[in-house]
Amino acid sequence: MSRLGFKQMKSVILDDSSSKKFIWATIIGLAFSLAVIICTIGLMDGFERTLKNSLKQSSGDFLVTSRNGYFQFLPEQISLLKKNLHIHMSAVIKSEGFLSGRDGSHGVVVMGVNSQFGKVTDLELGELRENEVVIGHALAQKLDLSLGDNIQLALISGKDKLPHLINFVVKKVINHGVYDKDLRFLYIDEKKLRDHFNLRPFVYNLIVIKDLNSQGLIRAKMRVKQAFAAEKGDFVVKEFWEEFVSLISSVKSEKMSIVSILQIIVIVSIFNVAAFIFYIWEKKGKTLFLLRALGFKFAGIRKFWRTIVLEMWIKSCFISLVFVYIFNLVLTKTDIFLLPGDVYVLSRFSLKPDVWQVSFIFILSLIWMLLLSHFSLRKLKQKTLISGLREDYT
Amino acid sequence: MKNLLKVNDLSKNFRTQKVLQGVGLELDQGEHCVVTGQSGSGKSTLLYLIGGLDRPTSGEVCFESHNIFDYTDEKLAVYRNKYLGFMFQFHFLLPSMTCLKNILLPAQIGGVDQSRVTKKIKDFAKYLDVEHCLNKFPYQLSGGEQQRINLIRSLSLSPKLLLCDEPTGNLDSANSKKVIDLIVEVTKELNCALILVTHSSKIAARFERKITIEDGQIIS
Repeated sequence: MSRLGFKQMKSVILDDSSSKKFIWATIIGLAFSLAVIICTIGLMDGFERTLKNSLKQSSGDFLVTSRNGYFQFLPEQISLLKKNLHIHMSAVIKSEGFLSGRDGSHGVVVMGVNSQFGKVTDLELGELRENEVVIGHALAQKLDLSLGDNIQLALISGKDKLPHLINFVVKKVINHGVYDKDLRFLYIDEKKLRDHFNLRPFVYNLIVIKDLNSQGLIRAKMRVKQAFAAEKGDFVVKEFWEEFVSLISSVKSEKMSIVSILQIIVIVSIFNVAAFIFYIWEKKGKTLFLLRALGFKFAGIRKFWRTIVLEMWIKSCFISLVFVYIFNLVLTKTDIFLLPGDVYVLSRFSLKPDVWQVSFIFILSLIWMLLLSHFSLRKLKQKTLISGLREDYT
Repeated sequence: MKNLLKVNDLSKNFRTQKVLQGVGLELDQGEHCVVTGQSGSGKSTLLYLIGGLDRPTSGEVCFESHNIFDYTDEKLAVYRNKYLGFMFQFHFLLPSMTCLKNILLPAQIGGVDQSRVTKKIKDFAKYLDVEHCLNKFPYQLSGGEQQRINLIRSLSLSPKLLLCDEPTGNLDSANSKKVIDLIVEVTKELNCALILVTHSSKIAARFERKITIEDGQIIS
């Protein structure tokens, strides 16, 4: 490389204000396009991740049910599995009922839980007395319930199959982070529900598990599955998001479609870059040919141009991340972006773009830019100095 | 005198058009020569081929016994920087740089110690009466001054051969005479060979050695 350094070359090639304005317009245009793609993907990833996080917080890592419905699971079995698998585990009686409040009634999922449930999930239910109930905030809002209010829960009786009304007091209103759960789930003492259904001791229909290992969920599921296969009861082990799997899959499919459509934005921004390259070649062609005539090596021009493209790319990537940060801030902090939870499951979106996907988008744009540079440099090299000088100076 | 340049059977075609046909030329160290001819006769093409700015269809240009067309693009760039000085019809000074920086460009490109060159440049500028222009931008200078700055740039690295393509093409007759006088004087002083392309018979008459090109061939 000649001793004419990058800074001096830059001051020679991009010396005028129109070139500087064009370069910044191109950088911002590319940054904006990248930001649009990252925001869209981040929004969808954010939906999936927030949904999964919320589900995990309210369900643990795995849900174990039996194909036979109810099953007996003794404390010794639980202790042994907890010890062997290094997990937290809580057996639950899950049923359905109808909750009548001050302002109407609503079908609910009734969870009969014990003190172990709080170790598996992040829900702070506290110690539940026989007449106490914990409900989700959406349900409380819908039925206009608050702490200390009396409610009636209609449950099917185990004996005569007719609904029985049981009185409860609202002990706590909690937030699951998932609208569906906030609207439908309520928690009462396991013993109360067992007595109502007249179930034998240690009979449940659901086990929730929190994995304490750090080997990943796939391995953990394998171990849990193996352990439960050895138990009597024909158990089925599912991940915590299984009940929302169709929603998650549809979001993923939607993401793929949108990403395909967003390629148009990439192409538009790449056209901007191409316009910039052609503008510079046209405007500064004579300078480049003069430098070459004075003995500047073509390799030097190539290195300079690649550095400029790389610099533009880095700036675009950085600015696009700033755009994404600002958009995320607006999305998570302002009320205008609050969502109707009954439609979107979550009450608020946030951007959680995957690092690999963002890197892929950035690298793809760099490849586009380098390809364009490569072709324009090749064209420049193919042009002889004499034709370049004559074209540009006459 | 030692032979500096030997052009052998040089031809250049642009598609079907034959611009140069079998041109031969020899030039010794410090020798001056003027190339004349009508517009489109091929005189500038010959100059650019000697300068390694283009490659011929056939033939060779031997500079100090080496055919420059055997060089790689990199080595050709070094040849242009180290051994040649160019003066074009248009001054080709970069508008964003002061004249001094413009003059220092070949030194910067070649990685030559600029402080050593600067001293020489200042002497040249004094000699050519443009010392006051060094810190000005090209647009602040008259045509004659710009061309003199261009001459200093061409000679800043003490080339062995100066190639001038219509160096007075856009100057009035008074400035033309002045610039040609300076080119001749300075190149003699530096023992630098000179090939000057012009279509002006007045300028051509000032040189002992004259080559006339017509339809891509040397006719005298």
